[in-house]
Amino acid sequence: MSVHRLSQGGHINRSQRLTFHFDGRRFFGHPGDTLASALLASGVRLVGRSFKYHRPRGIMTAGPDEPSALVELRERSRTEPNTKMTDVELYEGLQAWSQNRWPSLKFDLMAVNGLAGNIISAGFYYKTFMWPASFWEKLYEPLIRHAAGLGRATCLPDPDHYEAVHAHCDVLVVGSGPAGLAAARVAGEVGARVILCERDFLIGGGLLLDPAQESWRKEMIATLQGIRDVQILPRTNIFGYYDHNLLGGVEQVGDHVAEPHPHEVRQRYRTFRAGQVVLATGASERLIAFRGNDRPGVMMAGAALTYVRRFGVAPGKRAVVFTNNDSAYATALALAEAGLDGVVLADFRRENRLAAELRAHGVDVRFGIEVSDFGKDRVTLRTPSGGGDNVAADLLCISGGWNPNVHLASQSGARLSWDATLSSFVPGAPVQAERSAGAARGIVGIGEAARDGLAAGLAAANALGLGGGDIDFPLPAPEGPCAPLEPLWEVKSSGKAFVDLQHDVTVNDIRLAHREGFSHIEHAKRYTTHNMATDQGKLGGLVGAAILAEARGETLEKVGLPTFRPYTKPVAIGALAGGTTGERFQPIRRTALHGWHLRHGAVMRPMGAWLRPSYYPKAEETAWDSVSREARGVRQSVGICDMSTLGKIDLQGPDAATLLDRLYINSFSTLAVGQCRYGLMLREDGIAFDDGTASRLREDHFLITTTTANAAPVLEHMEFYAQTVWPELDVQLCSVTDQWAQIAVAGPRSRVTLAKVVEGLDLWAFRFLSVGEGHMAGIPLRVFRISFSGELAYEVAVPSRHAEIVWRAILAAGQEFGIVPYGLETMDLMRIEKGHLAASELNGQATAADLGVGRMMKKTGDFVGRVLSARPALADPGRPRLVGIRPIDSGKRLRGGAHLVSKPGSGRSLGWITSVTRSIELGQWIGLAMLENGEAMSGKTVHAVSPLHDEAIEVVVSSPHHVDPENVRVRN
Amino acid sequence: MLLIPCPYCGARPQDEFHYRGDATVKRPAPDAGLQALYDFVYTRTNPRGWHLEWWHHYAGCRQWVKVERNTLTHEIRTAVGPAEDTPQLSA
Amino acid sequence: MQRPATLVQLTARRGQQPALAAAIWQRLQLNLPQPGHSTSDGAYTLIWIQPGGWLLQAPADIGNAFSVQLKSALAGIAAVVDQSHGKCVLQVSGLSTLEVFARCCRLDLHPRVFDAGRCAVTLVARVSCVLRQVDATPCFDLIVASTFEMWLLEELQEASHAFGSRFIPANAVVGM
Repeated sequence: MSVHRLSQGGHINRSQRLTFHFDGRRFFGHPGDTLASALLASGVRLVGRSFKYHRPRGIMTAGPDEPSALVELRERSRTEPNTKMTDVELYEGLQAWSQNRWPSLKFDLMAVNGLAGNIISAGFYYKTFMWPASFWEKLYEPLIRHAAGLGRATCLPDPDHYEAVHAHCDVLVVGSGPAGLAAARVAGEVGARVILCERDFLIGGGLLLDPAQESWRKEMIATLQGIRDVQILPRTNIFGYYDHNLLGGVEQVGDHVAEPHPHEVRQRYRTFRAGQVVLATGASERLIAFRGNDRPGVMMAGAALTYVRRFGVAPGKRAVVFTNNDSAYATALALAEAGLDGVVLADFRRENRLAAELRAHGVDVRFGIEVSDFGKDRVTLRTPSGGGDNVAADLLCISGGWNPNVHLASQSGARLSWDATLSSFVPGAPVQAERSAGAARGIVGIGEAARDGLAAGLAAANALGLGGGDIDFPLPAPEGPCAPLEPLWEVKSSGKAFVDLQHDVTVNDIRLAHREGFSHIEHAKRYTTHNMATDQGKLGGLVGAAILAEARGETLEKVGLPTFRPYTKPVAIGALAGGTTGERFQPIRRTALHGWHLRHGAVMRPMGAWLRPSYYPKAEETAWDSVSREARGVRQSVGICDMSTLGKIDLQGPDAATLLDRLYINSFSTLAVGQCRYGLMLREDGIAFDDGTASRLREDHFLITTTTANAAPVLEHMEFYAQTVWPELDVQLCSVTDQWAQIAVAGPRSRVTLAKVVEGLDLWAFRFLSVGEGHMAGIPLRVFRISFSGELAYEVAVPSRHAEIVWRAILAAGQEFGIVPYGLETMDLMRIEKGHLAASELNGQATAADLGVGRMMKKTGDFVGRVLSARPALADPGRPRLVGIRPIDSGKRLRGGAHLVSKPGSGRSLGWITSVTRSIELGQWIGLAMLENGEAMSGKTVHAVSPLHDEAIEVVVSSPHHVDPENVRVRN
Repeated sequence: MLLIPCPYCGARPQDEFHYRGDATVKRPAPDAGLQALYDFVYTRTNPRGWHLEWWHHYAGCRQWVKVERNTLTHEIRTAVGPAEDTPQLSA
Repeated sequence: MQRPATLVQLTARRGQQPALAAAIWQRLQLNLPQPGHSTSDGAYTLIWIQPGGWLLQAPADIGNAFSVQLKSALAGIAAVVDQSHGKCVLQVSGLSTLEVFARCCRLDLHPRVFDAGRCAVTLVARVSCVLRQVDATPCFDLIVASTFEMWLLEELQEASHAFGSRFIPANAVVGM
């Protein structure tokens, strides 16, 4: 047994020994230990240095409210900084390092900050490092970052797995102390679906500290495990309470082993949608501010009790217990029973009936006493009359009272109300379907909490219409009333008295904030960083507020606490991502031809959710080699391209044409069956939204295409108008994007190629902008004569599971003409040559007129965007219009995004380049641009400047249709 | 995450919906003029409390649902189909 | 497992829902199900997907002719759109089915609230799917856009990682 390990008691398994390392030194512990309890058992007191002053710090708590005992846990890619050693379940081979010390924990050079402590006050950084501004980045920030801050995050990828699990239940119980267990059991017994979450690895909360309750604890757990619809989740911390009774939590599945099981996740992100919530989250002990209240050896009284009773550890050799309430009496008693010498109980109050029992156990109980200082192994006691006494002690336990853990209740929207008996805030009236129970709402005593939990669990079930029947099970006996607490926030003296140990905030910082005008609790919080550390002010939050209240001359009730926000304890980003990283980051959509593209070496590119072929490189080819080969192939003979990602919407019904007339700027009611037409949609504000084609398949049946990116928004837009603005129209809409694969066959030889494949359709009689039906070996085909490339071209729609058969048949048919499959890059090249629009032009700023298609706008009849597109500013002819550009020096390249100016150095932009490519037809770079007075500028010279590349070149303005402006080829 | 009571599908999490905004404004008649259209597109109240909003159940029944939501508390009182009227808004 | 099927989307014309119900009854002896429900005779299944809209799941081998016939039978009554290639059916069954769905779907599928025959259009693995409980063994059909089939399959396998899973493609010659 190690020096401080008791020979018996607690929830640890002494028969098994675990080896671990702290700062490279080897230690031993037992299953059931935390890293903190195992270190305390080994006599380790100094475990870290503080954030700002680098003061030595020890272990202060026994749970996630720990402000000081932070370590870097694990090594290399699994390194986890700022981990609270009080919240780390010990495992074999654990490795931990102290943080924030340089060069070593015992000898820390930065501790000089502590000597200059009266200089580094609240707001110090804001005030001091302001001038000169250029020094901030170069000098101050690196210096501060070296001196301050906590642990170091790893830069290596996380090797572990995470997942998200979404649960639903009737009653969610948070916390498994007496109240939580009773609530879960009663709700489960009346038939509710219950989930009980416990952040700890042991179920029982406060029951774990009282050996007399052990049999009840075990019996409750066994019963709960026997109820079918009750699920118990240990190691699951609920971190946030969100809208409509959604709670979030993290289950630490594999944090208590060196490496998670290969088939198991490290952490599981859980959401809970609960009918009713019972918050049995217990209470946290608060500190008292006095000089030296941060030194190693200071420990919360409840934590000391936990170390003795749960972990079988004596956290010191000689102890003083400083309290203003009854709870610390149990600590003093437990310490005495654990064999500590000369335990002194310093009670701030005048008297207490519990004193006699403690004195019988050898505890020196003194009343009316304050602790005014804690130095090296010496506690200074002070009586109200000013008399003093020094007591030798290496352990100083403090209890300033208990704060109900109201975080989740507060996050749920419930206001907090002041409880004068506790001198703390308790949850007020619920806003969502929740209730607090037990210590979480200020109920003191195990028996009392269990009864309160039973009532809360039953009330929750009743609220859901469950219940009835007599639910009765034995509960621990009530403890009866305790003597009232006497509020004590601070023992005034010179020197540093801390209210926030993790951020090194002292009582004087709070007072300074008030003096400098940051008197609102939220302002004081931000000015001092009080409450902003990872413990979220659980220990000293209320104490800081009390100091502020005193400075303001107001009640603590009036000053209040800062808003409680998630997370109740730190959460790893990896857990929240829940496995949706890398290739699982977003859904991936694949066309029916995806497999063919991969087999033929396509370079795939993500486009929205889709993966699309960019180009199909042959051996030794550069990207440009491939693209230029593909483009030449199309322009000179025939090419084939997978266009399946275009949005396709099926419209049926007697009013389908009317709806289209009202959504597009041009008319579709005039379109003959068997014809298709290019169309442009505006948004209601008059700006171009999307373009595509609409084909009339039958009198009351249309098929429209949208751009790939806007497929979903266009359908939503159409549904909005059909359902909400013109619900009287008889139109049925649905997406057929996935039903039909679409294959573009483009180039002068496309007709002869396709004619070998398509049966039942005379392609020579099939004019430009026609749609017709044909088939291939029994596979139905829809053929559209439309062209994005500017060549004679067709698009063939085929039911998607047959896509590859048809694709390969077309390739075979075109083989004699040297048919080439082409990708997005080539498509883009050709459409820029032709001056067709894409997303770079349809950028949410351009009107139909800006894009050169204003003439399409119908003169009569309403359509979306008609009225507002006529606003003077949108109709201004001086607006940037779509033009073509090319460099005067044909050897120069163009840059997308370059600005167009009248001469280099001019600060006034006349427009910008939207798309650029190397033209196959013209043998030079060409581009599309938006240019003020675009049409009038045709033939003139402007300068394209790209400051990013430090380039400025002369370009000549032209029509956007660089190739075949008369549209001869498509009509061939 | 909100739980939106789709009148067709039942209560569904917010991520099945797309938000569009104010459902109290009505698209003016085609001849109502520029100002009316301008107000329809741009002029909005920003109520603190109960508000009527369009939510599109894009991942479900694809209906534009009219949802009465409290902008302060996120409480949702009613949700009706696109062409239906909700009970009168009250503060 | 993949389940080949013929899928036809039916959307009633304005005011024609009673006529659609009558025509479907006459042809298939199936009622149009209420929102959130499906009706099935084992071979044909009607699934509610939206107000006035249903998805008809029919045997795979009846082919294209079926939707052509249906189209003419329902002319003027409903829009009939073949989705046999646009959507596919993945069937998920086994003891851990609900655990798997808890990892990729936010709906409550507990037998108390979602029993056999219930269906929902909802997000599964972040894509919109039709989810239908075939029976309480439990066994679910997931109908998803065919372009997301691979994605969904991979996500389902990921979600069943801890439980073990076996994928049976449609062309495999195996019994259930």
